[in-house]
Amino acid sequence: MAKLESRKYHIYLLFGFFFIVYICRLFYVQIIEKEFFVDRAKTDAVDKVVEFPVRGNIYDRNGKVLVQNEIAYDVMLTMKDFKVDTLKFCALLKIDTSEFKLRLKKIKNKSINKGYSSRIPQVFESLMKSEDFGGIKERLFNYKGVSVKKRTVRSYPRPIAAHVLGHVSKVGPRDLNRDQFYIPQDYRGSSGLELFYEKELRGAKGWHHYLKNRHGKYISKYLNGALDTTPRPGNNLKSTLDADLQEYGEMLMTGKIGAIVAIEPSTGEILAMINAPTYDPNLLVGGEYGANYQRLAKDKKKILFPRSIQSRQPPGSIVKTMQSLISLNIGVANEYTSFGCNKKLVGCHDHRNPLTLPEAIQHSCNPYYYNLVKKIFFKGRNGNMAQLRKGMDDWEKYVRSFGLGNPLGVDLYGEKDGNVPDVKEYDQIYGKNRWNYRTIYSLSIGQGEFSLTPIQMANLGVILANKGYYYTPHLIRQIGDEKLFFSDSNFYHKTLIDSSNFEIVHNGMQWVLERPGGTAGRSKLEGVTICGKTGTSQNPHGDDHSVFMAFAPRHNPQIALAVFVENAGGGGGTAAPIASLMIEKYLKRKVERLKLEQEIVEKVFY
Amino acid sequence: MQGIYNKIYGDKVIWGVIISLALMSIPIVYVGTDQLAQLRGGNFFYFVIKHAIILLGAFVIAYHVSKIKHGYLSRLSLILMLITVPLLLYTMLAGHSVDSAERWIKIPIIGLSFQSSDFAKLAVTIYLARVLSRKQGKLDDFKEVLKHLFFPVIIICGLILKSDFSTAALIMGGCFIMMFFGGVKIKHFAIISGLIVLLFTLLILLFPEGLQRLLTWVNRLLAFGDAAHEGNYQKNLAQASIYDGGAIGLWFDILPGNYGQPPQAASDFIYATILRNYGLIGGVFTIVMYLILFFRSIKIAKKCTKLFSTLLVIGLSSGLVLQAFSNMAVAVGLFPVTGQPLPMVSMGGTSLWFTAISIGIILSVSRETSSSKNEEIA
Repeated sequence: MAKLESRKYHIYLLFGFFFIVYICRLFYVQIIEKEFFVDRAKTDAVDKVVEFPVRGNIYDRNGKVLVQNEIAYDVMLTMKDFKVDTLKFCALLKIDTSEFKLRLKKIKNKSINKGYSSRIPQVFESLMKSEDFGGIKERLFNYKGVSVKKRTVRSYPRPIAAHVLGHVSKVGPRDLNRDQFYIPQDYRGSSGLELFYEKELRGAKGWHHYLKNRHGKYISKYLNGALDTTPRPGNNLKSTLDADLQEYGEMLMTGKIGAIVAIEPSTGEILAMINAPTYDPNLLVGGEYGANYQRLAKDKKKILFPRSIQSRQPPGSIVKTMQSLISLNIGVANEYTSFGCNKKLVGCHDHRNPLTLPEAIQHSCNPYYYNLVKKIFFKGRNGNMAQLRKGMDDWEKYVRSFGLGNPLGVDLYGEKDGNVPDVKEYDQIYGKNRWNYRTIYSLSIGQGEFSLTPIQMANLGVILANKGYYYTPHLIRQIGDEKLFFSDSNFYHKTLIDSSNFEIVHNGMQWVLERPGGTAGRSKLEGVTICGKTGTSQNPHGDDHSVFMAFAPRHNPQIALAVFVENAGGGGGTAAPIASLMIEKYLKRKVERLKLEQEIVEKVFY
Repeated sequence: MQGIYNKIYGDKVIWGVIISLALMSIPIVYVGTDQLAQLRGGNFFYFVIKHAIILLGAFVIAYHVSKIKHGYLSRLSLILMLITVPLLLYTMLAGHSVDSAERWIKIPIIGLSFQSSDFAKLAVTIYLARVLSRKQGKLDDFKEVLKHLFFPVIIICGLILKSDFSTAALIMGGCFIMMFFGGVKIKHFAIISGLIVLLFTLLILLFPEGLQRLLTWVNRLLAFGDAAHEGNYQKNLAQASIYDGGAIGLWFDILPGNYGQPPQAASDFIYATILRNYGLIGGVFTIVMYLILFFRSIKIAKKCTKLFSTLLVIGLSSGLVLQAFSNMAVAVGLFPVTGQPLPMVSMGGTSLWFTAISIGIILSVSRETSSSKNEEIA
């Protein structure tokens, strides 16, 4: 019988082996690696349905709401059941028929709308505000195939601090690639604090797992909901902003282009950050987001430009305070050092002559600082080019210790650096050693290549108030329950100026407002000693910018600020009264100089 | 009852096996096709009724084939082989394509489609049984072995290879098992294996379009285990089905119909559907059924007085079992997707009837062996 008898065991062995392999494999699939296989198959047959978390709110320093969430409604259509009188439906949603057709086309186009199924509700109108929705709700539900999905949108009870708070927008392909967290329906912070603290604010999504059939209809919960998670709401943020002060500042800046930054000197907490012109943040929410954004972005006044951290401008005479401090610190001057007001050197206005150092601050004498800074550079000697270069290098170290020339590190993206002119820069502009003090003196009075952002100007006020140090200015003081301690050494910065040198400069700054001939005499505030310094930022394109940097009260300062108003002329005329009113608002909580307030509000510079 | 029992020809155990498999398959086909049925307008009974009718046909075929004296098949095989080659050539050139591989041909007039490879498999098995039994004395001569045994097998498999690699491989496997039992020398197997590899390479060089097919296969092999690969969609679903079934199965709970069934849950992936609904118990039961079929066939083969019958039974039964194992291997994730139906279980028209013919032949042999035994006793 051929080889059957002798060879049959080979075959028994072969099939027996098959049998064992199969049993092992089944055991493996069902018991050992079940999670793995179930996971792999889930994406095919189990639908993960997202439950969006509630985004964190943002409060001001006193617990007043700056940003909260509001219910909005997505109007959804289930195409299979959807049958309506197009005209009536369009009238209800206030769209025209061509728009209606376009939207349906987009919904049905699978290359755009990947998960399309005629049995699953598709978004037709997104984020309708509840007041709009309420009116049509009844009639909308009469249509077959129309359903509604609740979502939340950002809402701003007071239309303030738009640039600082920022806005949220729908995620794009880049976000989806960069961060696994996002899914196509997500919204994310795209500017301001919303962007910077996105990870804190967004929370975590909840997921529901549904079993679905071939048509994508949900049958039941997968594994009885064992894998389901509930969303974790985002953290609430407590901001350092004072909503009342912010609102007041924005009101003062009506009709003006510029910025105000106010900081609490003892902590670096930003009390107000005003960018003017501003806009109502509620405009960048919901259905009208796109159109409004376009309109704001195209406005010639650059409404969306966050000037307080991005506008680089010559600081003007406010740097005279810093020049004074440097000269005192390196010992080339003292309280009584005086120079004649030689207008041949650099333009000036008429004032008492000669002046001591605090008086030079009071009157903002330009020739005084021409001479003083020359003395800083040449260390009081008749120097040559080598001495000038070395002197400038030393000066630059001092200036940079004031946080100038680099972003301060505020908790917003896009903060600009400003510019501290140095030897290298002048070499580049004029050629190596082909310049001298006469060429570059304008930096002594804060003009020319010198530039600061408004927040750096305010921070200069902080340094003066603190007599030599500052904390990194910031906008958020608490995330969820966790308080942020910016007093950490990473946020503490000490300048190279000895604290004993400040009293002399403070005198001059006090006199700016309080003594006759001071450049901001009108801005004196009864009962509060304000130390300030005016500045006039020269601008090749038009009228000078008005600058004022101040802190108050002189002893135990509570607020330091800088006001920058474009094309508003000298610092004393516009910026100083604004700063003074801001101080009054913050320290007294109530402004009594209503006439001054009205005069300022009515000033228009564009 | 006794009357019907007596009228059934052949081995009762094998009858029991195929009846069990068929009965088991009906509810499975019903749940396995609900997605297909929905796509076709919601007649959920369409496929299961069609399957039941085909099964009935299969039993009729098996019954009638079992009455034929299988001795005639020996001579018939020459004619079958003569038909097979042009048939395969015709399929290759004119057959209509399912999944870009030409496997099917349509019989004019009747309008039934069948895979010519099913026909070829039957023909080559019978032919091999004939030649092996006749050339017993010349098996030491490599030239003879090559000419009469390996050569026809390689030609047939080669013709199928282009469109259906897995079937070609299965036929080759079945034939090798037959030759192994038929007494072909191990040394010759080794030489031939080397030659096949050589020929395979040559074929690829000669038919660049065949390369495309091969690449598909290589890709499948490479993508095997890569969960993200689109081709593994079915496989992943199948594995999840198996997991869902657990040890005792879901027994047609509402869950299975709607959740994650692979699209071919009633044919290529039917074993996964069995495991889901009947659990590990049902899965083992199915394997045991095929093992019983095989060992029972070996038993029948051993009883045969003619070598032709022995080899015929071994060839047919090992062909069926190999096919069953390859189907199951796909479903449990041991193999990449091949498209082999599970014999007597999978929904799938004519291939079921070819299975019925094979079983009919085995039954016919068993009938003759048992009757000869009866005669001896009498």
